[in-house]
Order: sequence, then structure tokens, then C-alpha cells
Amino acid sequence: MKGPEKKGKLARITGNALVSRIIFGAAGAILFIVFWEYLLEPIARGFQGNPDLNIPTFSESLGALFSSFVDTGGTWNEYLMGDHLMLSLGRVLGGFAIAVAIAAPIGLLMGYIREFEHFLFPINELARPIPPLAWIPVAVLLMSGELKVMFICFLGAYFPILINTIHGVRSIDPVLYDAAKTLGASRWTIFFKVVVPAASGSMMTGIRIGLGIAWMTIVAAEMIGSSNGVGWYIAVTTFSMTRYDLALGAMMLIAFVGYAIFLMMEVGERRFLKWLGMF
Amino acid sequence: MAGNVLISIEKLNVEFKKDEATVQALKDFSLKVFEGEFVCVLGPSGCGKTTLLRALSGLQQHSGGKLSILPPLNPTAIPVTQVFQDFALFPWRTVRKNIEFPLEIRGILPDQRVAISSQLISLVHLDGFEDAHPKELSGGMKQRVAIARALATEANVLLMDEPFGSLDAQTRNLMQCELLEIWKKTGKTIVFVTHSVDEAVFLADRIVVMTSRPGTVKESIDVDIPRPRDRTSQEFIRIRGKVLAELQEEFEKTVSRERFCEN
Repeated sequence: MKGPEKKGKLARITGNALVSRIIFGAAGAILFIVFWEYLLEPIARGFQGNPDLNIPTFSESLGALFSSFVDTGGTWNEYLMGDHLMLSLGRVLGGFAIAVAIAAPIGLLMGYIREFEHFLFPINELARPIPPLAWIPVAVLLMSGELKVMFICFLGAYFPILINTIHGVRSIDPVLYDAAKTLGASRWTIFFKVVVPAASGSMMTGIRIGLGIAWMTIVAAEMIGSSNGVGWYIAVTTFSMTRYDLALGAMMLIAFVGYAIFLMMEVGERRFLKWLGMF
Repeated sequence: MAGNVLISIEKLNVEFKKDEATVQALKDFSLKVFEGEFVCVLGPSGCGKTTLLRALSGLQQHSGGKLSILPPLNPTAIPVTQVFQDFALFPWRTVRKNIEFPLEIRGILPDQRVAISSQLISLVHLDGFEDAHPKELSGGMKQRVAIARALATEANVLLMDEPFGSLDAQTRNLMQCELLEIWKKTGKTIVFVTHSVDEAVFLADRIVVMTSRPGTVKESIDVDIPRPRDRTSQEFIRIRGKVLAELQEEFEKTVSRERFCEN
């Protein structure tokens, strides 16, 4: 018999998953920041053969982000970064809410009624590969103002919610249908009392992914269809002002807010499943 | 059995399509089940036992013959209900809410639902687990919930498809005793499919042995041993031997057919 398995020094320190996550996560982040702060500019200068190339460092970008909350930075716009953020969040949540309201019921019905699935399959499958941004002509033609941007966010959220909801209905254990039928449930009772709750876990996954994608599409949507918001801010600071420090600062904000949304949705999803009694 | 005929099956034919081929699952199957009777159905694997139950519960269409079940007196009740081997509980509902599922469908008001489900929870000895979710329960407890839920339909006929098949031997014996107790208290008519000869002889008033596919009734054996039954008694062993002998013939047929298919 062998003795207990020997562990390396590293494994002993990081045996705890959470401790390991914090230690290695911090190491990775610090390495990235050091690279950006001290190495990115010289390397880029070497590559481009341009010793005057100026790349904003991490600290400059972060500083620019802070300043953008108190100073418009000459963006010909009375809004500060806090206002841009709120406007962007409003559009994302608006488009996302409409996507949930449409994609969830359609997905449930497509999963449950075969003929309805056949009816909508071709149009959905053809529309799905079109990236949200390629819909801009449609958005410009059909909508105006805020709706234009919301429409793009809506498209970003719609398909993940739809696909996951259909998948949720499809993966319901058929014995649950048999049980409900032998307990006297009609077709529509089964839909509301079995299909909806049984598919809601998968639907929540789609909702979480959909919100993430809606947030990702906001920048491009605002670049084209808006005159304010974080996406618009990046476009203006990049193309018109060449203030890359401000643009990179806004990128960092998108990252932080996106991650916060992701965390909130994950907690929400877990709470929801727990409330359902399925987790 | 003296009572009314509750289930009447005459020359029932059931076929279904499997990989383009039509499979005859039941052929000229005839059986009468009396009110309050406990009938166990035995037969070789794939003989159509499950198909028989699915035809009775309306989950499977039949292609010929007659099948009639006396409707219940209560207008909100359904004639038959079924208990499945895999429990088929709704994982998002608590024990109480699972049991109240048929009550909701029957349009029974919330106050009354709670009263009825409490009674059923006591009947299956699950007091204290009202608010537990299925994932927190053992196999035996899950099946008790499923039985209580089925009883909430107030169907006269309880179809049970190998309900204790996935339980360990000890739990299985305990559940058999409890099922007999529930049967005695509620007066339900039970059609119980099983693979276990021992289980059938322990539970049934009558054992129906089916032939291999296409399934039909090979033999109907009355079990007139008074309850509670002793599995080691002479009488028990004698009837078990008789059932085994009937089954053996059909097993051999199935085995020889399978060998034939392999070659």
C-alpha cells in the first residue's frame, strides 16, 4: 500500500478552491496590468517602428475614466460619464426586457407545440446568423431615436433566450407529461403547470446570457444610432478627438459594469432555482 | 370476487411503430378486473405489461378490441390514474404541492386542498415532510408522495408500473406492506405490474401471467392466502412455484427467440 498522496508545496497552499481562486486570479490580473503599464507601449513602438507612438497606460486610462465622471473632457456634450452610463443601461434594459417578453413565451410555445415550431423555425434560423449590428439598416428604416439602439440590444438578447427556452422545454423528462396526463391535466394545464416551471431553469440561463450579449452590443449600437451613451463616448473620443485614454477608460467601465451584471444575474439565477426547489 | 366489474378488456389489440416497423404489443388481450381487486401482472420482459397499463390510462391508443372502465361517481374525479417506477414527481413542487396538483386541476379550493393533502400525507406517513422538495427525499419516500398524489385524483383504479422496482429490497418489503394498508383503507382497485414473483404473490388477489410478445393472458392464478402473508409458508411457496412454472415457459420462448435473432 502506498502512503497518502504527497502534495506539492503549491497544492498545499492552494488546497482551498476559494483561496486558490483569489491568489491566482490576483496574480493573473496583476501580471496583465504590469504588462499594460510598462511593456505594451515599448513593444508596440518596436512593432510599428514608430518611436513616437503613444499608447495610454493602465493608470492613465483609469485616471481618464475617473476624470470623465466629473469633466465632459471636451466631448461637445453636456453629459458626464455617469449620465452616459445611465442612458446606456436604460437602453440595454429596455431592449432586454422586450426580448424577454417576446422570446420567452415564443420559446415555450415553440418547444411545446410542434406545428408552431415548424411554423417559426425557418424565419428564426435564417435571422439567427445575422449579427445584431447588421440589422442597423432595418433599425434606421423602421425606428427612430432611442428605439433604434434598443432594437439592436433586443436582437442581441432575443436569440439566446429563445434557444435556451426551447431547449428547456425539449429536455423535460417525458414521464412528467405522462404523470400530468394520468393525474387529469389537460393540454393547456400541462403547459402552464408543467412546461413553464420545468423549462424556467433553462430559460433563466438564456436570460442571463441574453443580458450579457445585449450589454456587449450597446457600444456598436450607440456608435451608429445615438448621440450619447458609453458606446457613443468611445466612438467620439476615438474617431473625432483621438483621446484614446478616455476611450480606454470607457472600455474599462464597460468591463466592470458587464461583470457586475453577470454576477447579479448569476446570483439571481441561483436564487430563482432555489426558490423553485431545483437547485 | 363478488363486486362489480370495474375494468373490462375484450380482445384488446395495441400496436405501435418502432423504427419504421409495426410492433404488435398486445394481441386479443382479455381481462376483467373487479371493484376493489388487487391484480398483479407478470410476464417476460417486453411482453407488453407497460403497454397494457398505458392503454388503460389512455397514454396509448389501442387499434382494436374494447376497453371500458366504470366512471367514478364523483364528477371531478377521473376513472384511472397511474404511479410510475421513476416516481415522476414535479421537482419544483414540495411534497404538499405535488399532492395538491390533481386537486388544483379538479378545481378544489385552497382551504380544502390543504385539508385533503394533509390527510393524504398522514396516510402515507410523510408527516413533517410537507415542505420538502423531492430531491431531499429517499426513493421510498418519493414513491409515497407519488401514491398520495395519485390518490388525490380520487380515481377508482390505481395503475402501478413496477412502482417499487428501483427501491432496495428492505424498502421494497416495507412499501409492499404500506401499499396493502393503503389499499385496505381506500378500497381502490389496483393493477400492479411487476417483475418479481415474490412481490406478486405477497400482494395480489389474483396474478395474471402474460405470454411473451404479442402479449396476451396466459394464465390467471388466484392467490387465496389470508393477509398478512408469510413469505415462508407452505401455501406461499406452493403458489410461487406455480407462477414460476407458468413464467418459465414464456421465459424460455423469449430466450430462444433472442438467440435466434442473434444468429
